Amino acid sequence: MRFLIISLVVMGTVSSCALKTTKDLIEVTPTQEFYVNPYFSDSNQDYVYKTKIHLKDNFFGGLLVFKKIGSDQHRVVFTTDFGNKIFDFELQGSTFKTHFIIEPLDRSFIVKTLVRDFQMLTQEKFRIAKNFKDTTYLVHQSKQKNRRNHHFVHQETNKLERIINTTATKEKVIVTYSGIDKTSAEIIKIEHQGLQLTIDLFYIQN
Amino acid sequence: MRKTLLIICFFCAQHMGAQEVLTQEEEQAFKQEVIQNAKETQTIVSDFVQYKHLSFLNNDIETKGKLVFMAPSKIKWEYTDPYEYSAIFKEDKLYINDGGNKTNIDIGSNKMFKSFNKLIVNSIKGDMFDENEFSISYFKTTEGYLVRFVPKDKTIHEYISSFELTFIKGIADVSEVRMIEPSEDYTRIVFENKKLNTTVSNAVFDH
Repeated sequence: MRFLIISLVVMGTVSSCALKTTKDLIEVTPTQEFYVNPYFSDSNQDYVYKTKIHLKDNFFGGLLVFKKIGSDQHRVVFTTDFGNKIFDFELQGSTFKTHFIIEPLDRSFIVKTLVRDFQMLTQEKFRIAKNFKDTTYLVHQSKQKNRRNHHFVHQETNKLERIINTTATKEKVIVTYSGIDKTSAEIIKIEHQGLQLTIDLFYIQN
Repeated sequence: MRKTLLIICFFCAQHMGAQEVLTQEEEQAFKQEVIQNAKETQTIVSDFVQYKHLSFLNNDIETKGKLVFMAPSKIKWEYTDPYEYSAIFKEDKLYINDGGNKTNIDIGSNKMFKSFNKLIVNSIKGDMFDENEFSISYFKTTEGYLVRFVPKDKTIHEYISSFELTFIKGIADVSEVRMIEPSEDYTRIVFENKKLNTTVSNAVFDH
């Protein structure tokens, strides 16, 4: 009886710590070293998105612009609809440079959160740590500092439909793509699980 | 090398030549005309095209819409292409409708917003000739006049290093506004089909 109780407690603890993202998936042996994210990868294209940000009960709108300016190097700029710049980051690999940010947003927590989101969206090469699959998706798990990224690639279409960014035990950010073309997605939704922050991006032909 | 330098100098001279500085008499006459026109302007209805220039993009971001102004300070910017967005400035408030998401901002309590609102009103009318707030320079161009306003307020200057208003010759009315950032990226708004003093219903400014 005592053994049964201990077993149940241990099982309970382990299952509550298990990552929801991969819980119902089967681990498979990776067949490739890297996964390459196709979005924002065409340096000849301007990626301009009408953007709607919901933070708790607040709403902000504007335009978010992505541009590949070099190998593994992107510029990400957010402006109001009138064209006033709110922030302007340059990302290269895991490093970044702030060209401009309005004073109320110039807080390390805000900058860190935004930059991590944009790095997740624009980074092209991810070293695969593990592979998982179910009947629909092949999932590439990779490490990003103290977080993990899970790229959900549809097995039939080979299109990246979702990225789930997690800690070892919790889902932190979910990115969903729809209206997918070769190097862009018409609609991108970024949902922060703990922050009541949702960013919706709608592609504008430029 | 010398030849290249000569060619560059020639083109620079050509460019500078296109912007001839106004004499003091011309400046006074032009200013009077614009101020008089701004005073007589009760309403403005105009289409506009906005170009956002970011140095690293292949193309400027183009958005289009309609502007309605009613004296003394009601303004509605309505973007219709490629998405729907409207911003109404009235009675110290900014009312935004972003594709169905409605928000209000109290401009009166925000010094920065208040300054920008004043700038927007004055730049549409063309009457920005406040020497306390701007260092102003006047130029004659092939099409008309260009006036450059450099804000003296340090906070505004962090966002906008200068405003340039373009006036078509013979019409003391703004045809183009350019807001240049310290990085030299800019927003250019070109007015088209501009009509002055037509009847405008107050209902236009309902949120």
